[in-house]
Amino acid sequence: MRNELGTAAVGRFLRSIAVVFGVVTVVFFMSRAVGDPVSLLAPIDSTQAEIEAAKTRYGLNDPLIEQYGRFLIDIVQLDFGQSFRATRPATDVVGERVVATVQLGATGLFVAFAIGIPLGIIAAVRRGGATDIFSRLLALFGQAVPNFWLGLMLILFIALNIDWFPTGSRTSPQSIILPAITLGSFPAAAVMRFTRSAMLDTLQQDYIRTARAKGLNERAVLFKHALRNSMLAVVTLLGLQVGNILSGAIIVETVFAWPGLGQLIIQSIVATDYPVVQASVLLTSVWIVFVNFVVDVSYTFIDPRIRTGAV
Amino acid sequence: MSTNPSTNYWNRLRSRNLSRRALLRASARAGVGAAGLALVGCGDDDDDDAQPAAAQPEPQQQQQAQPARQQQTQQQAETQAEQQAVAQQQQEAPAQDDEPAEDTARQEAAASEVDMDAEIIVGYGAFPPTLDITTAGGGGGQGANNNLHFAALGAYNSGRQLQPTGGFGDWEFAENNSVFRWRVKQGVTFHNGEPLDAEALKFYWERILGRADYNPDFQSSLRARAGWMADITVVDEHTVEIAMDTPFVDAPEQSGGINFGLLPKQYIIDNGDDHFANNPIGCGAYKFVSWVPDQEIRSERFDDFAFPHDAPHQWKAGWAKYVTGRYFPEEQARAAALEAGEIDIAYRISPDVASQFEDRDDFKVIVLPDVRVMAIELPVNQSLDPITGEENPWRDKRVRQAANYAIDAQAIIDNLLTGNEERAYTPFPAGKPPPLGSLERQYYYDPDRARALLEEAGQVGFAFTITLPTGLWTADRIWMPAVQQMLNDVGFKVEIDYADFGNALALIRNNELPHPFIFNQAGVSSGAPLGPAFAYRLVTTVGAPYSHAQESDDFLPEFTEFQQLIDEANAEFDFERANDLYQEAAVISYENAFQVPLFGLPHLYAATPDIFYNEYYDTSTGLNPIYAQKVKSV
Repeated sequence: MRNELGTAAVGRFLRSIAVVFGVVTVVFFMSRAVGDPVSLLAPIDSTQAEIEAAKTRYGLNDPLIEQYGRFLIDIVQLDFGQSFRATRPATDVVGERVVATVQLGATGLFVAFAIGIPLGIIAAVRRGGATDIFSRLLALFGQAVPNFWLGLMLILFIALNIDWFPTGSRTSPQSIILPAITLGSFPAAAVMRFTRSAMLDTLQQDYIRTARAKGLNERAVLFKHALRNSMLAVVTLLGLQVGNILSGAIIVETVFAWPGLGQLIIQSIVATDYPVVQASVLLTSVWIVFVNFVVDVSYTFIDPRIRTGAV
Repeated sequence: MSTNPSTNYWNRLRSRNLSRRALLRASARAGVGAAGLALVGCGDDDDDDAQPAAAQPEPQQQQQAQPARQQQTQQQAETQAEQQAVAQQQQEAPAQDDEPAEDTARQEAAASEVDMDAEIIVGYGAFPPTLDITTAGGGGGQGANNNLHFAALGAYNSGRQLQPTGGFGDWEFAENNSVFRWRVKQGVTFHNGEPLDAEALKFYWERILGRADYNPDFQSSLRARAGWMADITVVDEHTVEIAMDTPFVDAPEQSGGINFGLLPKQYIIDNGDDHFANNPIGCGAYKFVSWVPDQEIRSERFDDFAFPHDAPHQWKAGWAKYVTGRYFPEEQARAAALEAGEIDIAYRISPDVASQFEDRDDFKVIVLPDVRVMAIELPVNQSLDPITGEENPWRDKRVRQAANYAIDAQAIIDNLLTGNEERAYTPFPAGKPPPLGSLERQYYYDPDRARALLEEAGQVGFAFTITLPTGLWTADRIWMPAVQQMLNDVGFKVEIDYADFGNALALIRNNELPHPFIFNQAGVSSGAPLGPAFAYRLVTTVGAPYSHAQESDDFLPEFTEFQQLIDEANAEFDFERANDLYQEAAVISYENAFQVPLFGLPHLYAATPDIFYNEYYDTSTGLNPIYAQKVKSV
């Protein structure tokens, strides 16, 4: 059994590497298709000679396939080159932003699960009731409202009226609250719906009826038997939501002036700062793949049937 | 308080207290709409169309906000006498004439109460990726750093001409224009106490050129600009001579102009370039305190600054004790930060956002002229039309003039922009009259005349594309369709190519764009904002990077004459003579409609009412917090 699990893990790992390779390749070619960084970043009265010199310096005059080959060799060594904008290593520029994004992303996920799981449970338990309807409406709202709009509304209606909340930036502990709510709203809705659905399914299972027949109190039935068995779907969702959180951070960080990776990606794309775009995308894709890998492995702990080969 | 009565459009500051317009009301209205869309499943996180829609006030409201001004400006457009009178008024009348007397009086009264211990917090929409002024290039967001921490050798007058004396250094050409000499002002120190002397200057330029021993690999974005410099020699403690292989008339600008912020020698050698890029030292009016990338830059007034508050040029001592720049990339969030009292000035806002602060007692809108004066560059010298392969219609002066008469720039200014813009001319020198030549008046909106000219030329239905590099120029996607429609209304068939800014610039530079394109170097009634030498180095002339004209073209006779005058002016060491030549060339250009000048765009800022701003110099970075004052009470 262990061998089978090990083989599956290795296979999964190799597939992850292929995914990351595919992502960075697409980003490499796409970023070169969209703009000329030197023309954009050079002073407007730069001479053509200066533009050409800069392109040569950055290797942009070389054939694309040669640039790609060099890029692949460099990324193995985690060398993404110099940022065109910041004129220092792209990895340094990206590294400075990781903490802010992880902080925001983790808080956003916390918000999502802290809101989504209890609401999902309550909605399932009180199916068809007012709480269920309210929860479903809230989930619809959370999934339908663009987070840039929600962010602006939170700024306008909360930050402008309650001095304790700043409108943006990362200057105080409370700065994270509004962006985290904004970021967490979309995944919260998804978590709520998944939890509700899984709980409804689980609550109809025979073993739940058996647990009740044994005389277990409702709390034990819900949390020990139903919730744990429902968590498999929710944990799967966690892996998906990491990707959502990172893509959401691009907008939320811009709206709330949060100096993280998402904001940096926007700036770098606008400025066609390839090295930073490539480093950022590689980092985020590795992170998403890693989290999904961890989620896969965690199934074995959550669901004993996987560990024992029952499924 | 130092006041600087302006003498023309470019120097006139208009700081207005405007009536209240509810930010929340507009946003909530947009929000209800967006929520409605959301509930029926439309729109998602990446729906970038929704945001501008949410932010824009309805056109009808905009029109209602400015009916009197529209009526007035339409009347101005109708008669030559009135229009010239307006232009003359803009040139000659002091700023107070345009401002309510009450407002001026308030400013003067407030002057005695400037809070010298204040902190002014400015919310910027762009932040610099590096704080080394010599590597920043066109990276953007330099206003939060360069304006405060650095100063250059030369001092400009209000016409944006570099003066030979009076700044951090005096300059002269010597030895039959084979040597350019700077003599630095004595007693000046950098923020760390290092002296600004001849050795510092030599090191400074050699670092840019990659000749400094400490790091010959240093890459400066200014290297090409300084490429004219041959040997740099220290003559004495305060004098440096730069040898020129060929006489270079632009030597003052390309060694001591606004881009050449001075840096300390020993500090850089001791700490290295990377350290400097994060901890800059200059000799500007404010010294650097701290920087959190894309979050905050803190600066403190440099009390040993070399010049007083009322220096007769752009180098003036700062007023507030501290200036803090904060980064708010999203414009509405920047406006909200101002509303919430987190910042004192919202830097460079759009007309839409500015309208949210109109008519409010608790905020003011500051309008400053921008150096960006939009124009359509025309391919006048190509023999054949790139689309039809037939004779190029732009070679016909009547077609070019038809395009000029077709566009109601004033209507665009009044209805789509802020009303503070000015219809443009071709670039000409400050201090000279608009380059009308044989024209009776500035090109004005006359669709009948445009149609008649087009018919006379046999070019009704002339189809062409205009490329608009998008994303940098204010409200570009708002005014460009109006220009297109107006041209079509008189008989042109115009397509607009809304192009990525960097890509479009690259195509233009590589001469791969054969049709008209929009660029930002024209002139307003007071002249070309950055001077005609700068403008014609970029546009219209042969070999300029944003010009259609190439050596191999079939030049129109008028263009040949124009080009000869420009060449002569570019090589003229006598400023006055050079300006006369530029003016002569500008007249030819305007009479013959080599461009279709549109309008000069302003910079807009919103501020709390205790902020006063009374200086403007034509630096490309807009509002400079050095000149901003915070008063103790209003």
